[in-house]
Amino acid sequence: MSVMNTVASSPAPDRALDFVPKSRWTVLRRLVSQPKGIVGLTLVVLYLLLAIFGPALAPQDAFRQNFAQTLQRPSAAHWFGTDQLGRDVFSRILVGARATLGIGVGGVSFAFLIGVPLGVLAAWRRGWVEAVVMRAIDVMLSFPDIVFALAVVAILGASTQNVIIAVGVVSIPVFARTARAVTLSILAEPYIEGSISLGASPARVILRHVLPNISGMLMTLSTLLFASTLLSASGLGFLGLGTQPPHPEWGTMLGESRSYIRSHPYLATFPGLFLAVSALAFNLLGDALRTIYDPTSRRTARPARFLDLLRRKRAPAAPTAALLPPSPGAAVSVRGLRMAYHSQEGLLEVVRGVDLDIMPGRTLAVVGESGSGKSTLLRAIGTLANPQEVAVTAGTIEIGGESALGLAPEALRDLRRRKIGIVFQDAANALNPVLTVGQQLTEAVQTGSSLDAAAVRQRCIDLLGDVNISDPERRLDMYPHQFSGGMKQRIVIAIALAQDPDVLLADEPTSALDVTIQQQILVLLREMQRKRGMAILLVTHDLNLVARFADDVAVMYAGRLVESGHVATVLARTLHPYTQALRASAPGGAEGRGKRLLTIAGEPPMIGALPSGCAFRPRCQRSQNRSQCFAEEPAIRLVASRQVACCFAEEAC
Amino acid sequence: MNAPFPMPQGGAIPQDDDVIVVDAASRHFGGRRRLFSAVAAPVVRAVDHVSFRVPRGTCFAIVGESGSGKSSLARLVVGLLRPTAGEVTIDGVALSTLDPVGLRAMRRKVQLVLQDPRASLDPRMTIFDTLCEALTVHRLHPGREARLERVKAVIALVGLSPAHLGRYPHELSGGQRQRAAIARAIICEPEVLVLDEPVSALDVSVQAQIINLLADLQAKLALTYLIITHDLALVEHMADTVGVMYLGRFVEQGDVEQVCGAPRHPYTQSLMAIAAQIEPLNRDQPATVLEGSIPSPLAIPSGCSFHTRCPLARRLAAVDGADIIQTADGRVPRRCAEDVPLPHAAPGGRSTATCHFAASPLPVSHD
Repeated sequence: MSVMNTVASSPAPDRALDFVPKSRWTVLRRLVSQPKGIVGLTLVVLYLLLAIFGPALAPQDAFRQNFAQTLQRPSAAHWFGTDQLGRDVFSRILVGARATLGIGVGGVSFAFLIGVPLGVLAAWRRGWVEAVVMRAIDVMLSFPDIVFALAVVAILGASTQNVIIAVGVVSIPVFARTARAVTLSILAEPYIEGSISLGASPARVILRHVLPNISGMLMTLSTLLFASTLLSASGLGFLGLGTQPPHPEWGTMLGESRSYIRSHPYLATFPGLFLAVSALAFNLLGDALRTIYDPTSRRTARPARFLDLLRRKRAPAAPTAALLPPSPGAAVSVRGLRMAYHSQEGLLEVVRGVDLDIMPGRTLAVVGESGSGKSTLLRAIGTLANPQEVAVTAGTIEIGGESALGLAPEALRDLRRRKIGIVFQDAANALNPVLTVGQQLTEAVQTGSSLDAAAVRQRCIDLLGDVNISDPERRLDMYPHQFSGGMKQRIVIAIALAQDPDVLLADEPTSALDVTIQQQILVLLREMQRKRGMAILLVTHDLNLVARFADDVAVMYAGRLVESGHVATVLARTLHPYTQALRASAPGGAEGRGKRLLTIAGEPPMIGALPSGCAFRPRCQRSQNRSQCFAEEPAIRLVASRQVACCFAEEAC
Repeated sequence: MNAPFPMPQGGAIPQDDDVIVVDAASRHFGGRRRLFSAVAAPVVRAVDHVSFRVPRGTCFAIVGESGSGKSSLARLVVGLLRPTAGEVTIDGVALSTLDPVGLRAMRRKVQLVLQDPRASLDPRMTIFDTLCEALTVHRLHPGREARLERVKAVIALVGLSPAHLGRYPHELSGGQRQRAAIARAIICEPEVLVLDEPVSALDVSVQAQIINLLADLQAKLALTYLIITHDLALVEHMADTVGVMYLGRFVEQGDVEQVCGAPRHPYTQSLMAIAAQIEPLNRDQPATVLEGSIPSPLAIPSGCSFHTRCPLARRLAAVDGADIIQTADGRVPRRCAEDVPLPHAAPGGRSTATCHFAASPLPVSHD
């Protein structure tokens, strides 16, 4: 089947062709394969051994006081020194491991087992259950931790068990609130709805889908709370309510050593060290487990080596074909543009030699699929490409006769402000929700101008009127959320037009909008163009929209413009097999009812994993595996009044 | 195909052939006072008095803009939402008669395929685990071997290979993910697939593959489709019958040829006019646009809910001697703003349009 030949879609090495369900040892194997997993697991096992065998291993009696040898420095006899009562600190640490870890793990587990179900329940049931649970938790949070713990111990009595409950109760609100918040966001995911509609029971949805997906967050929270739980336990101990002296416990030891922190700092050092390392151990193990259970984070990131950094500086040797001079009078003129993403594997070429011109008053539509490089191209022309992510490796860009490459930040901003307006796909995110529309328009109008306040306001009103927003004076003081999606996109267009740009860049300006609103926005853009004579670069994946709206079209595939020319010429008879296939595969309405659609085999190629020769060859109907298609990237030639990059373009004439 | 379109008004008499029967179903949200809150939440009429039926093996399309209630209607059919009024019957069983356990068992028959396969598959489960879950939930094909057998058969049916089973969703391409989502939907041998914008999140060159796959599966497995989309070209290609939804109601419904070929409701006419434009816009002539945007479902306009945007009402109001009133959105015939329109059947009865003026021939042509 044709869909098998996906290109580089899997970062994982190809597994065996046949599928074998995973074995139960997979988790351990994956855990040990990560450095943090192996360190974390080793440390946690060591701590557990310490908790079990600590008292047996203690070289001296941890309870025997020796007033002749108080506050001694570490020595051969007392490895970690002695405390204020002359007891051996090393022995006390070994003996105290059990109580300490018991309180830490016990307290966190107690809070986890009560808080997480409460939070998940609140998020799942909503309504009054959520209201009651959350208000109760807010009340709990309003008390200081230690007061709460004291109250619990006072009621239940002082014992290690009750201290565990006390410090656990303190952490319940944190778990419950976090669990509710992350559960709510997971429940909003479509796969939850998918699994409910599959017929899965609520218990199954929560256990199989919600808990695994919130476990990472809760695991991190647990390791953070582990340390703070021990500290609040030691606080209780300090008040005489925790582990009772003379029984050792690291938090209490740390608390007692506070009085001697100046004169005898080592007294605090060792219990503190053991505490810190224990928190670190659980943290590492939790992190490693999370990596295992979250497959999306398992891409083994290779650390950037120094040599790679050096290599990045140098652009790959671009073919130094003589570039044509930029067209005089063009609003935008791009010549031989090549761009590449910085990545772990080095530079990945995403734009591979683009020439284009947009004349004032005309609209050029760049059509392509995801990964074709169309949005990167638009960002480069808009001088918005982030040089940290993507580099221009060859070619020139001129906006209104001025070069847009190699400018200082100040000059770049100035060029952008004077000549370029940009409209992105998602109008909802393009506006700042906490500023009024007027404030945002004012900002756009004022930059680089010396108008007074009244003139600025009048200009804002005019702009809103231009984009057909009725009652503009009142609308200026409204916030973005008070407008519909179509209105927001009009406001974004008004902001883009504020400085009378020479060129308007529009990246999928209507694909987030409803059909009827789409039409309104397109008609508006066309009207603005007619009034102001600006050039428009429209990036889209919708050929029908291009046919209705653009003057020129450029079809982009794998970083190159494979077919470009006047819309009427190109769409009347497409010559490149990709353009032809795109046209043919769209559902054609009533005539094609019930018939099979023509399809393009395979999937769009991934950046950096292009086939040899012509990038479209593996999906091409015309190639028939002719050797020319394997041998060379087809040159862009003038065939039947349009530019086309296919060795056999004439076959379609 | 081309089954005579049953009239929505009048009691819905289930016929043996109808897999989905929706009878005057409504779904309202809000209206209840919440704990610790003084005022009742406003009522949103997401779906209001909608009726349709889908014969076995056919495809019914719901078309509408965002906010029209089409997603809520789909969730009523799947049983994810319960109707506030009315009844949804699947394969002869009324959903309201089922308890939660029975409803879950019923879900085996109605499966949902969502728009974005990246989001609709659990990122922490391999494709194998995802497919197995469906079998486990409904206790089908018990036993490790039988289950693996079934999973492999389904994966071949949607054009994936066993090598894909061990992968996680993020390791697949968009098209492969949607194939996996479809595999999950069909693995329990359902009667009905509810397809919520099944191709709009995919690359253009991959969309045709998925549309063909859906057509193949429908023929092979005798599936009944309910497809939700805003793409009228897709509707004309795939659907047998269609309902055009506006603010929770069907403004026009019936056979696809009739509704899309000769639309009688002004809203459908506007949608079709936009979809049919493949010629470049004439720069010197004003283009046809439908003014305004869909009103909030919190404040549905009185009378005919489309009157605030209706081009036909504007034209009728311009005719002398008509009974006209002034509204916030301009002058419209009094009937449009005050009376709720009833469905009018087209000659031949193969479609109905809910417009006061659908019965009479249009007084003014729309060009």
